[in-house]
Amino acid sequence: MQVDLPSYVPWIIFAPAIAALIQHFRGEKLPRKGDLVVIGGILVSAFLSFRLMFEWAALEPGQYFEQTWSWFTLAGGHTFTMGIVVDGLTASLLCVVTLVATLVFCFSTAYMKGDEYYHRFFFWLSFFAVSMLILTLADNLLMLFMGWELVGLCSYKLIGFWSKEIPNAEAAKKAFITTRVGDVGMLIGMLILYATCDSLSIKAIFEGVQAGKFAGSETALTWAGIGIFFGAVGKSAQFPLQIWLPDAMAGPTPVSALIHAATMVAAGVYLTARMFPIFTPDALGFIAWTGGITALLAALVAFTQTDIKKVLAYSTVSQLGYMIMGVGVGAPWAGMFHLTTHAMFKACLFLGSGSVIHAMHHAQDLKDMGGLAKKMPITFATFSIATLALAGAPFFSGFLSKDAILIEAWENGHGALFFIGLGAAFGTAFYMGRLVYLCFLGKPRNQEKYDHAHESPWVMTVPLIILAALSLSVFYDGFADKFYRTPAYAAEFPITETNTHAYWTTGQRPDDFHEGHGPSWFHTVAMLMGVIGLGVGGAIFMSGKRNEKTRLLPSGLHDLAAGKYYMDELYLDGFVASANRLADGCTWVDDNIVDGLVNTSGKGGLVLGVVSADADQLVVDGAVNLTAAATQGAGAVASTAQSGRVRNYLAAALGVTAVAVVLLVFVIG
Amino acid sequence: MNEWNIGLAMPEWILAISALVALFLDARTPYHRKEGVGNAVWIGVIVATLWSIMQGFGLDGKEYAFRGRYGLDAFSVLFKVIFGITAMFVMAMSDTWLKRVDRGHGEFRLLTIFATMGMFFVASVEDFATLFVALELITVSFYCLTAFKRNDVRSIEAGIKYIVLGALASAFLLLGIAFIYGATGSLLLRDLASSGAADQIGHAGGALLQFGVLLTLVGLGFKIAAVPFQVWTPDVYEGAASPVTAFLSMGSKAAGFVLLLKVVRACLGPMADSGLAAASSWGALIALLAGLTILYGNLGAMWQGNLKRLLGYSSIGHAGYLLMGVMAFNHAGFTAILYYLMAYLFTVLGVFAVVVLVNGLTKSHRVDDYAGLGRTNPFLALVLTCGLLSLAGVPPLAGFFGKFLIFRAVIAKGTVVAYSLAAVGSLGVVVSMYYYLCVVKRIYMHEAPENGPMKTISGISRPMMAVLWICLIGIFVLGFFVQPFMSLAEQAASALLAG
Repeated sequence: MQVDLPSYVPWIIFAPAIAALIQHFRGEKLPRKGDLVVIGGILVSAFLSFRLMFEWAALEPGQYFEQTWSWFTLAGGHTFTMGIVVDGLTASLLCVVTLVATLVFCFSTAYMKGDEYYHRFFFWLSFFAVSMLILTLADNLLMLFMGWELVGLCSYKLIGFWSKEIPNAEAAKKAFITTRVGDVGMLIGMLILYATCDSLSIKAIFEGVQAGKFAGSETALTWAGIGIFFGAVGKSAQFPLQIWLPDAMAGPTPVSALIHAATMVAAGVYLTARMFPIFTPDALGFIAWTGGITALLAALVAFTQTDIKKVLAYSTVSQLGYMIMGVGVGAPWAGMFHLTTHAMFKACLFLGSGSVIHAMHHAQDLKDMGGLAKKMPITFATFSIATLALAGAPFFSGFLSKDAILIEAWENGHGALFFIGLGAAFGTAFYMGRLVYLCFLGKPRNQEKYDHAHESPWVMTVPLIILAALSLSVFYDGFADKFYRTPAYAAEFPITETNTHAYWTTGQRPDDFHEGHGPSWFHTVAMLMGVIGLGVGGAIFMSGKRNEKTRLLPSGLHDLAAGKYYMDELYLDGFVASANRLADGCTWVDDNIVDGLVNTSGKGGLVLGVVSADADQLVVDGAVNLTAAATQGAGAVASTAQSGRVRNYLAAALGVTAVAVVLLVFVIG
Repeated sequence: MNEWNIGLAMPEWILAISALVALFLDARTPYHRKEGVGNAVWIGVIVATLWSIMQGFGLDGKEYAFRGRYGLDAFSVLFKVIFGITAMFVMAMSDTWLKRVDRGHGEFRLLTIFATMGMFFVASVEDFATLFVALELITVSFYCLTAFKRNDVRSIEAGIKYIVLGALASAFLLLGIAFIYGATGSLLLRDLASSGAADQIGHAGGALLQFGVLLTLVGLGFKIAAVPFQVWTPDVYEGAASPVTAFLSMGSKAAGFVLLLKVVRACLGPMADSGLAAASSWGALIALLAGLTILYGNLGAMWQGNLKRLLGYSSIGHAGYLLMGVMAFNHAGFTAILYYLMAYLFTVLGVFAVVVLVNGLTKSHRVDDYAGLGRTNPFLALVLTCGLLSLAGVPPLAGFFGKFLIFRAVIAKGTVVAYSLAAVGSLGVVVSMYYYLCVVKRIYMHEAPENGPMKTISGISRPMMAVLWICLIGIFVLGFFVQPFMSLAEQAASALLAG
């Protein structure tokens, strides 16, 4: 049921927005280049978010806050609204975003210290927070889409923040354009929904779908769902658009932690979970398989990477695939749950890698690391806790959420995906074991760097400790049930765990879903997967014979994975190259046909122009000279006319007329 | 309707009088002191625009002058205001640009105001004869403006190309008008709408009429730079002086669309109303042209190293999106076109204002030479970036809403043709993202070369500063405070449909 929105909620957006404005216009002149203003803004936002979460938690199950304002009205009474909805999905994502953002902002004050454009960095961070909050709070697709594009823009600017190096700028552009490809799908999905339901408000869309507006054209609904999901494919780096996220690691590490691990990339999962009721079974199957394939493929690539951030990046892609798979198998609550726990431990891992990179003076290849545990005990401890959470070891948050997804996959009849997920889980544990060992244990492989390494200052370690603490499972007891089982509109338009076709045509809830706990052997196996994977991943390096270059996969598979399945090449040689050829064609038409046509006349014209420019002065001298010059000019024109120019024009005129006549025949016929 | 009622055309009279005053002043003042001319032109345009706004407030339905050959309704008023604002912005840019030119200041301003007058007439056109004369007034002024840099081979070449291809277009237009007259016996647009052009389909006259309409559309296709009549655009955009290019890309294109809308409404409206099969063929034809135009413009722009050339191709692409609105052929489609053009006004003129300023410094239009703009001129970089992103249709900027409304109108048609067109349009959106971002990347992410010409631009004139700010604010306002502008567009579209 709908409850009125507390009046302070818009300030969750306004506070960082005001901070961003101040930072933009005055940042450079403020003390400490204005970072305190930005941190103040996000702190206010975080405080209000948590207050809102507790207020929401005090409501009855199924209740949610919502308020809408009329934005503009089109002829015929189509009103577009702006609105805020706060349910469990929103409340938890709000807290994740503001909490991680606060910690990352604090971390950045040390990490980015002394950077030439320190103030710009904080402006963009703050602006990102604003955009992400708009996306989170929106109760309609139009507003959500605006936030969606704005976070993309911030991500673009922040990936390319150190743009003196060309690859960074290229990575930024690649990220923006690849996600934009997905956004076009999303826009088309939105427009199909709009054309049918006559509104972009999420509530109205659910209403329309349930009222049977798509009855008889379920395919259109499937396509609308896949279109919307395509936005998530781009933003959450799912196969086949996953290519941008690893490159996005070119940005400063706090950015990777905030945007490319915890929040923005998770927006796709949030979108799919939010729009869950519109997905038909076909669309859900598509979503589930996309997620499953991504989870497995990305995990394999992580085996081959030697850059600490790249390993984490592929791990993020893989985990996002997990979440998407969770939504796809009919358990959006499990996907959202994994989003929340993942945000904490992955932010911790990224900030931990930032701490390592900071200590190693911006070296991030594993070949320079090893044995750092002694030098950086706090970083090592927090990194290990987060690793355990990611690997899904018991008593850590990842165990709960990953299990939830796998159980749902099994219970809802996706046996193949269940085993793919299990395999990916083992892979995850394995490459994380490898990463921790190569980075923190064993012998130092670069003695000089090792000698200079040091533990990071407290503004960097405190966020690590907080995030590591939040990776423990004690905080998440009953969390998923409370937050994700009863999203907004659930009472009016019940979200079932498996959307079956019958649900859409009759509005009947299907009976054939059940609360599952998975096969009896499941928990034991899952636990073993995590622990053994970690153990083996670390232990194989113990002898000292292997290092980061050792090929852990069978040779052919290794090459394939290390080459990122050659998808960059496919896109470059396939799509981009053919677009180039088309573009060349367009230019060729202009250069040859039109230029050939007119170049000669241009030269004649130049003569005319020079002549007439002179003519201004010649008028004074006398009409005779002018006449002579004019004759000369005319002669020039005439002589070029002889050279075939007129024939060209005639050809052009006739060509166009012929086209016109052909078109006319086509029209009348 | 049969009265002269010449007071109704007061904005045009004002423009004409100020043009004559300027002409007189120009003849009486020496070469380097043309401020008087400039003032006369400025006053003329400002007063004419204000007068049009006043007329808009007092307007009741549709009023006629010159015995029904000149009409004034919400549609014409909206466009007169758009043309007035465009002219003012362009004049602010010209004032900056003319400082770099040593002669011809007076002529340049005169040609600007003649073209503006033509645009004002275009907005009120009620018959084909007025249409032709008004359009030629614009076009002939533009021939001279394009070739204005007499010592620059690119400018001359652009001028010649424009003249030759423009003359060809005029010939088609005139031939089309002749066929229409032959088929219907009237030059009045509303006669065409009411005399049942639709009834004539199937008769001998029907073929004549359709042929005439087709040739007319070919002629107008040149003006709006739609494929396959787009070939002049990149060269002319590149060769002409930047303020002229700005004027071409907004004023001339909008004028072309005004006429296109009026002709389409008069000729094809009755067919669509009576539900003839031919109407859907015309729709498919326009959809085909729109799709080709979008693809051609956006693909052609991808590898352009010259910003003005890039904007030329991009302007072809935008013509394609506007044609999508024509294809929708209903109130929603026309509203979308009008909103798109309002958004385009602030967006494209903001971009060109920056181009004029930067060109004054670097003497170059190469995209590479915009490197470092973000560091040296953050404000100009901001305006240019917002402008380009708005052109690309990134929400919440003005351009997004234009595109959104257009796509919405097309998809609401629900036909296969409409869906395919929307798909092609979205492909164009992605491609356009690429080349606009290439420019943005240069601005912010590349360093200006050492000892290069790029440095902080000082001494930006007040009118120029006003243009930059108004455009920047306009880009955001039209993206967010949609309602008031939407109402304007809707009223104008209703007026257009009412005939």
